[in-house]
Amino acid sequence: MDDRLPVLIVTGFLGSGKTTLVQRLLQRIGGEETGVIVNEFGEVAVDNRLYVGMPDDAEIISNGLARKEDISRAFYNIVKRAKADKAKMKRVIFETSGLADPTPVIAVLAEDAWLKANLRLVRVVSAVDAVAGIGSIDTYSETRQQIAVSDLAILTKSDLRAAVDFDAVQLKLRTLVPDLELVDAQSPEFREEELFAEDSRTFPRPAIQEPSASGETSDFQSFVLPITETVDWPLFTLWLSALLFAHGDRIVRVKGLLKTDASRGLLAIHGVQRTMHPPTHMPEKEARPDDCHLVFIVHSIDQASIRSSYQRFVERRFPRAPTASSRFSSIPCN
Amino acid sequence: MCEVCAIFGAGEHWSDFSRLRNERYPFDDIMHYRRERARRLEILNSVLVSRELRCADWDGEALSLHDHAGRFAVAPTLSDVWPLVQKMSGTAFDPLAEDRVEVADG
Repeated sequence: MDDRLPVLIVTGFLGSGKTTLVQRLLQRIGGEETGVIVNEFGEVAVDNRLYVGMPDDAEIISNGLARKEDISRAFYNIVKRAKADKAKMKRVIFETSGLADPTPVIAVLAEDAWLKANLRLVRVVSAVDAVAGIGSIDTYSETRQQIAVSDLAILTKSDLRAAVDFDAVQLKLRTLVPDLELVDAQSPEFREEELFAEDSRTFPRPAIQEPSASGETSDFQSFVLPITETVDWPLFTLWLSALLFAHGDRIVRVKGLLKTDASRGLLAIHGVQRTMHPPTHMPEKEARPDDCHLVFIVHSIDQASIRSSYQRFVERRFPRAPTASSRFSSIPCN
Repeated sequence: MCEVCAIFGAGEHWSDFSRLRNERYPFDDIMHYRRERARRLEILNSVLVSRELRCADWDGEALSLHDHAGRFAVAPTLSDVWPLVQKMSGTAFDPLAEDRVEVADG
C-alpha cells in the first residue's frame, strides 16, 4: 500500500485561472487536508491577496522562477508538517508561477530520495483559458512548455461570453501534444477529487492523432511513433536512457504505452526531459495492443532521426539469444 | 528485497519496473529482473565493445564499467552508465548517430 502523499502540480500561463482552480479544489476536496505550495511571480505579490480562503500555512516561494533548492525546501516543509500532524494531510498541491516551467518541480520530486519516499507525483495539469488560451499558446513559449509537460489540460473561463469553443481549444492543444486530454472545469462531469486519482484512466484516453503540419509551432515539434511489436524491455530501456542522456535537454517530453515482454498488461511510460517516472501498469483487460505508441515532444531534433534510431537500435540489432522455452517450441512437431 | 537471502534484486530506477511487483512474494520478480539485467548487460557490452569498455553486474543492482587500462567505475543505475561511458571513452554514446551503432554491430 502506497501511503505517500499524492502531489498535483497546477501550471498555466499568467491569468489562465490557476489560482481560481486551486481555490476551487481546496473548497471541494477539503483545504485543511491539503498542503499547498504556491510559487508566485516576482515582486508583485498579487496572488497573496487573492488567496482568500487559502490555508494560512501555505508555503510561498516568492521567486517567480523558483530554483530547485527553493522547491525542495518547500516540499520538505510540507512533508515535515504532514508527519507532525499525523494522517491529517492527505494531498499536496503545487501551483507554479505563470511564467515558470514545471520541469524543475517534476525533477525535484524524482531526484530527492527523501521526498520520493514521502511524496508521489500524480499528475501535472495545465489551466488553459478559454478566452486567451489559444493566443497565449501562439505567443508565449512558456505556455507551450507548460502544456508540453502536462498530463491533462483544464479549460477555465468557458462560461465567459468571449470564450472560444471547447473543440477549438482541444484542436489547438493537440497540435502541441497529440494525446493531451482537455476537460472543462465548468462541466458538471468535472470532479476535482479525480485529479488526485492514482491512474490516468480516470480520464478517457483520447484517440491519438498526428499533429497537422500547419498547426506546428516553430519551437516544439511533436510526433507519434507507433510501436506495434512487443518491446524487448532491456533493449528499449538502454536505447531510451542513452537517448535521454545525449539529447534530454531537447526532448521536452516522452510518453507512451508499450506492450513488453515482461508483463501481460500494457506499460505506460512518461518522462519530462531527463526525468523518467517509474512506469505504470495497466491491467490486461484494459490493454489494447493497437494503442501502443510513443509520443515525443522535442525541439531542434529532427523527428526522422529519432524514428530511424529507434528502428535501428530496437528492431534490427541485437537478436535475442534463444531462451530455453523458445528452443523447445522451435523443434518441429512431426 | 528478498527477506530470506537479503538480495534486493530489483532496483528503483525507472527501468526496473517492467512488472507489477509482488511485494510480499518477490522471488519471481527477482528472477525476472536478473534475466533482464543479464540481457541488458549483453546488449550494453556489444554497444561498448568499440570503445574498449566492459560492463558487468555489480552487487545485483548496480553496474560496473572497466576499461582496457584497468580503470573501474560503478554506475548505481542505468542512467549513470552513459555519463561514465562518456568519461571513460572520451565521447558520448549517441543513439542518433548512425556510425556508432554500426561499429558496435560489426
